[in-house]
Amino acid sequence: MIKTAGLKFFNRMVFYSIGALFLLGAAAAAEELLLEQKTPEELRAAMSASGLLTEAGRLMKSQSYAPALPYLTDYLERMKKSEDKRVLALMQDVRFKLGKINMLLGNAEDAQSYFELYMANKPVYRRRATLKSLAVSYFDSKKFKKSIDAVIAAFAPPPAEEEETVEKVNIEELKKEDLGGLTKRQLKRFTKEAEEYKDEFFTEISADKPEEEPEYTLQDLVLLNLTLAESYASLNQWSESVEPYRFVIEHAEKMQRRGYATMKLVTALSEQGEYDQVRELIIELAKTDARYDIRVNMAMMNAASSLFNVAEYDSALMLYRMILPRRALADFHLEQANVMRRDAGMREMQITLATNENGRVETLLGYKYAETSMEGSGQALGIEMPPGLVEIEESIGTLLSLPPYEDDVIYRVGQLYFECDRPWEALCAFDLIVSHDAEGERGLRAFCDAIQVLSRLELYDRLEKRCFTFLDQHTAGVMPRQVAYYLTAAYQKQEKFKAIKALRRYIDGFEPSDDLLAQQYECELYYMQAIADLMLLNYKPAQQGFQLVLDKFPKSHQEDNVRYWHAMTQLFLQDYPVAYDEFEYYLGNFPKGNWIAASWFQGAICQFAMEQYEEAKTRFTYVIDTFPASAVYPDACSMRGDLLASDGLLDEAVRDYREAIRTAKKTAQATYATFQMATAFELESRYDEIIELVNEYLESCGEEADVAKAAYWLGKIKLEQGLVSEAVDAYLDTILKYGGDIRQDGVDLIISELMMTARRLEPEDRSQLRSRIQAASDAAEVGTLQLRLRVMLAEMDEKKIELGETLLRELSDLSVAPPPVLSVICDASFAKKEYSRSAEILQIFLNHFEDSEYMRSAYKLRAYALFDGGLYEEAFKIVSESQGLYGIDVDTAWAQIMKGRIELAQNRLDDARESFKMILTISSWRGEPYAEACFYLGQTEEKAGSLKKAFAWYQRTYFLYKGHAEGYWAAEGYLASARCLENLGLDGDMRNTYRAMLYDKYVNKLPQADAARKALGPAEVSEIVGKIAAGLQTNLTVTIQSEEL
Amino acid sequence: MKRGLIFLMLSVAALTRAAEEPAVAVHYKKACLLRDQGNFAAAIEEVAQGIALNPVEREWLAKSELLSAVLYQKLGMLKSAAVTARQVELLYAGSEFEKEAKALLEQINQLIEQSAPAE
Repeated sequence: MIKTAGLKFFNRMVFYSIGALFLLGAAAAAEELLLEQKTPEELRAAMSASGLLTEAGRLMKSQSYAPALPYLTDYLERMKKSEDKRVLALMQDVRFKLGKINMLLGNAEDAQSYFELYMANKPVYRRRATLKSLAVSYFDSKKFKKSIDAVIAAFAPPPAEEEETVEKVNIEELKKEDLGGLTKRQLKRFTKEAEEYKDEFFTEISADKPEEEPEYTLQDLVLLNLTLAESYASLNQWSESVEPYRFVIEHAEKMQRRGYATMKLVTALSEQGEYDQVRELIIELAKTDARYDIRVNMAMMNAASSLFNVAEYDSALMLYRMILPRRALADFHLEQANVMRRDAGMREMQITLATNENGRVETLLGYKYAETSMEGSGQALGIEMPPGLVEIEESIGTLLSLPPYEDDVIYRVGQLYFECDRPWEALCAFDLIVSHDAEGERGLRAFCDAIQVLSRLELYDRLEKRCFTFLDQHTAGVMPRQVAYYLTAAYQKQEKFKAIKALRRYIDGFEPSDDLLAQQYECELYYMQAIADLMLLNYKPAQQGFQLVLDKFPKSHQEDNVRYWHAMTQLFLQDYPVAYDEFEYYLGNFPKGNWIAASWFQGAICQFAMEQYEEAKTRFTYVIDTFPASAVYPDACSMRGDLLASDGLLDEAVRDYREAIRTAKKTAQATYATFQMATAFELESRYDEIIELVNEYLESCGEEADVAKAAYWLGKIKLEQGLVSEAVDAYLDTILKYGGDIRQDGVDLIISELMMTARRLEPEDRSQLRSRIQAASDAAEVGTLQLRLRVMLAEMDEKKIELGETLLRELSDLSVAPPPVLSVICDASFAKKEYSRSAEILQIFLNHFEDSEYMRSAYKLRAYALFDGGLYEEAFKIVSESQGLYGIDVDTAWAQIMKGRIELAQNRLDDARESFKMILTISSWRGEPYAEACFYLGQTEEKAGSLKKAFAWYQRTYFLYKGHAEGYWAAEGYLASARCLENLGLDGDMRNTYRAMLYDKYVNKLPQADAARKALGPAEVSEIVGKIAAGLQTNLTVTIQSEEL
Repeated sequence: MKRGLIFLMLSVAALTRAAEEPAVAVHYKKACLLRDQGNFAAAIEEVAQGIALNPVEREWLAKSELLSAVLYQKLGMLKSAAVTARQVELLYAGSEFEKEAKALLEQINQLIEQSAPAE
């Protein structure tokens, strides 16, 4: 027993005496080893286990930790089969040392392995130290979960299990054989010397159970809590991190550490939405010197960013304001250092500026470190450096070497100002960043942000100037596209759609880019180009623009919108079947798209336009039933109301109109439904209800109401009630009040109604009205109101054609003319057969005044223009549209006649015959349309070779309708009759027809009569003239056998 | 860190000590003149330039922010005026600026109330 103890003691003494052995014989041994030239592995293999530990101890003592590692690991390998308790205890201590050394050397994985092995084996004398090291090491290796487990284990009470201890040896009690060849005295000396080295690693290699492992110090607990908090924070387990951060804040000795923990706690609380606590913490922190710690400042930036992201702008701003610039931090630390320096009798440091060889400004920190060390330092002067001074000086250096985060702060604060609606501060912050770094990433971002602020401030001139300057200089990458995008958005805001179109050349000039973001912006830009065309009512270019987006950017983020608007342009271009198909395509391919309800609705509009009324009604009903919250719901109600009204289901229609008014999201929706409902009421003479309805409308829509249209209806009711004078006064007042606004189509309705009323007035009243209009016209400035008043005067004077001719000369830009003015221009053009502006005028109507009654004349002029140019198909289309809009109204008989004439021109004689005969069935078209129809029926039969039938129609024309159109059609009928008779070989009848024509007072003064005179010759003409002068009246008639007409 | 010669690249603006008046004060004073001339738009731009510098001169910054709130009010940007005044109240709690901001905020809120459409 004694022997064993003695041997063990010897071994231990060897470990303890590494230094002593080194002193005693290391030099000689080294020389010997060198001579033998063995490899390190061979050397270690030749050493005893105790020798390994001895050498390891020696190396550790001389701080050669890495070289000590193989001795320690070899020792573990050598002893791995040992079951001796002391050896096991030694091995544990070696594992602990290996863990510590590896940590020191930055070999975290190895360190953790040894610590883990240590914890897995026995005896565990250094449980607390090991767990602390493990926790820190795991955290450094980002093994946060393990780090948390280690801290939790460290805080937990140690296992109750008894550790078997190894007894301590008393040298005095050792027997000679246990002394390993040494004397007791030598052993004591070695022990003493070994203890004197005081090297932590060296002195602690032991199999002994140390004194009871001490509890963690407060410093340890701070470290462990911080590690725990940081690990939780890294795993976003914010609530768990709060308590350990609070511990650090309360117990950390260093102010900086408390500050850091405070900021991290701010982040944790922000993440949990505890903003009141956050604000309190910030205020507390502001009162401490911790704010001068750079890490605290960095943490403040992170916390401020988190607060900003959750729109806690006040707290975020408070934090950003607390972040100090590097210079302020450096100054603070400099002052601290200089206090220490002064106290130590050293020269003060200062921050100086220097210019390098490139002319750039450089700083030379401190008292120029190089000089300090050579001439100015305390050490050089033999003055001892005060403790902590070096750290402070180094921290100043670190601070000034940091990238300039001040600009980050200014930029983020700029964003914050922008978000919380302090646009001027935002603008200046962004401009400041741009001035620091115009072409850098942050500078470019700030440039774009500044543009957005300028837009918010509506400083469009500045915005435009900046954007164009940029676009003139940049064509590649995301930025120019982004700038063009913002400029486009600003133009959109101002409704400057032509300016958007002017950007096209820039967009086309961008260098192609593979960057996804650049492509998205470009797609957006082309999309906005097409939208601009749409807003300018340039439907064809808009359609091409949308098509371009589809072709150039397939499957783009805008495809949903583009498909819908492409379909809409088809609708606007009145290609209803194609538009319908495209809406169906949309519904089939974008089941979750933005325009589902709208596509159902617009599809119904297409069906309506294609006269598929039942299908349209069903589809409107589907929209009403399925999308009650959609924007198109009120429109669908109104449209179904229209269809129901046209079916005579007025009560049902009124119900739909009321629903449309109730749910209207825009005033226009309420306006449409209101006046459609008024029309429905009018059909049943429900005037009181109209008054009630219109007044309700005016009240609910307020300033946005179409007052002129309301006045029109109220005046109309007054007229119905016989209150003519009141109605006239109200109408004229409304015209004068709203007539200056070209968009007030209610004014045009009133003009039309007032002119009809004027025709029924007593001459005196009529004259008075004219005088009032004249006075108003004289008083009005040149503009829309005056144009409207001039039309009214011309109509009262029956000089519309003359006015139209004048206005054609006066108005180079017809888009400024209100509908009545356009109408007189159409009439004048028609009278002169001047068709050159027919397309332009009709387009203006379609784009701006689609519902105007005055559009009829534009349709007529356009149809005649196309017919005159031989464009029969196009003319037929216009005719069909006109008939679709105006049906068999008195003044639309021309459309049916034109239809027949087109069919006649196209040799579709049966169709033509049917078209012309149809006219004779419409009683409201009696008069000139009948005369014209008869004449063209004659032409139809003549073209069909039925000369007798043709003759009969011609004859009917001049018999029955000579009083219409100042005898024009009767004259034409005479001449055509004579032509038929001639072709039938009935020369006598032909001459009688000519004679009859010359006797006919309705036609014999018309130019056509010259043909009759020429055919009859001077003598007979002279005879007829004489007879007429003598008062002779003839009843010359020509009768021929005719087929039934 | 080893001691030695350290060259650090920094901008002049960041490091030059302000021997003269701080920039924020210069902007503030100029803005006051512009305000007195009734040129509120130019005044707010001027004072905002000082605020945007994120200066450490707390008192000048507070003055500037109060002036900014007033100018927003003069320009009819009541929401911005209210936000600015409220932030001054918060950022300078316990100071004279807090009291001024509070009074101003009440005034602005009254204006907001008056300009709100009647129910």
